[in-house]
Amino acid sequence: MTIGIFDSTSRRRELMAELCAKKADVFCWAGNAVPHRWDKISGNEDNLKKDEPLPHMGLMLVHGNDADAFDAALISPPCVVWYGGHRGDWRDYPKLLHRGRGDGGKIFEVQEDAAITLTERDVTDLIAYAGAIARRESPTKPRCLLPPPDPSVLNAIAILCQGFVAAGVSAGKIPVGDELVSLIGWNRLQAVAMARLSGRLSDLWPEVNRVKWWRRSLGVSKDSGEGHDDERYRRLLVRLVAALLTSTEASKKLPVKPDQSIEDKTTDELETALKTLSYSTEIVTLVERLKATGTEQVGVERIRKALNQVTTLLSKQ
Amino acid sequence: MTMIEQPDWQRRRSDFNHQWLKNRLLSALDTAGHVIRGRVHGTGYLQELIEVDVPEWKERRDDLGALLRDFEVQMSPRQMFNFPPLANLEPTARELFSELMHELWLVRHPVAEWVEGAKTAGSDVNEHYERLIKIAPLDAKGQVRPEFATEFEQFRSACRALSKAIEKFPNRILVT
Repeated sequence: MTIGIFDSTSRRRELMAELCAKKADVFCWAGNAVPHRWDKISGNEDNLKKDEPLPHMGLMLVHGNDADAFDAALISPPCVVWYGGHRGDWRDYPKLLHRGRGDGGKIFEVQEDAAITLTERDVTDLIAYAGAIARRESPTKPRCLLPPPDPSVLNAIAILCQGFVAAGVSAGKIPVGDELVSLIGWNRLQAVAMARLSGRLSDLWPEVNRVKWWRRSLGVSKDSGEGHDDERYRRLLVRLVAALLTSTEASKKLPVKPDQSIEDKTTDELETALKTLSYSTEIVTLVERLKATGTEQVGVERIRKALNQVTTLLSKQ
Repeated sequence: MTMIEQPDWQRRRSDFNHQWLKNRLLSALDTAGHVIRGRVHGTGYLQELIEVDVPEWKERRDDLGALLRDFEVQMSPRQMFNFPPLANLEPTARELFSELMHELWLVRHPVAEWVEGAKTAGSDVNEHYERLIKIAPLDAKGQVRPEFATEFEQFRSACRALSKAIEKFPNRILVT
């Protein structure tokens, strides 16, 4: 396959070309209609010879800032992927933007606020994906085209777990020497801050140890306040999957077709997939507790396991 | 439940550091460096650099000041309590957990160090800027003045250091 790169910023275009050239022939457009061949050996862009025909591009990678200059009709690739993003240093490029919408013949949505690092493996996946689209198949979206990770639910769980620990130690239900206490940094707080917070946190302990409180705090309670709402619970699982989906393991466990989204998955599908992910089992067990009835308690050990896992996951994002 | 938006602070940092400082100013300074070392002809470029690109610092230094002032508020985990699901916590827990998370954030991460580091780097850029703009780049024969070349390198080096200092800030709200 031949890959085209359309990007008016030369350093970024060269980085992208160098990466893609490990897997395919590459042609570059510097944000205008003139293509250049990428020479794999010299790492330079060469002019095309006079009257040399331009090969068919099986895949075009186009930077979002060059959307106005890019004329898909002129090159007519079967698959166009937009990339871009302004996070961090340009040396972190190439990064890829996600989210294919509709079939691969259509232009992908530009998501300026989310980027992941593109790897050789991703280029291989994209080539296979573009090839399948050209053959009019319905391939599974590669990892790099899935929605960007949304850590909000992991952040919320991490915060609630830390609040639980702080309330527990303030109420004397978790020993000061417990590793949970040092994990959250409670013992590093200044004495003034600790004194200001601990009395009020202690009062919260009976509440935060109840499943009912967690259900309400994570937004899955029924309007009546009793029990969980099925659809709200399913949406929580969707968010949890969204936080994990860009990992290779998660994208394999929950395949998404070009015209599908994670939002379409059922509770069973989501729970089954999440339970098989080695790095989220404890979080899922905590979330499943939200379906408990009666006046059940969450328990320190459940929180310990979930907090350890969520801390590990967030540290990798 | 909706996803928390990318904090406005991150967009402003990106505008300053990625879009302006690196992609425009440092890129222009790198080109000027080639001119000064004689690798590329175009001494007219230096005049334009001094008249157009470098003076932008005067406007941008205020943006930097505001960015550093706002960091502790806008990138604190307290912000998480403005979005679902934590925005829906009952008021007592919301207020208390919000305060707790901010205090824990301050002891877990070198927040003051990040801000001071960037402030110092910004002051260095400013100091070298004030010196640089007082030196004409070319002498009567159209040659680059040695004192300009020296001050130019110091200004460029200070800009790079500032960029590195801004990169040290986290790119997301840290909750653990």
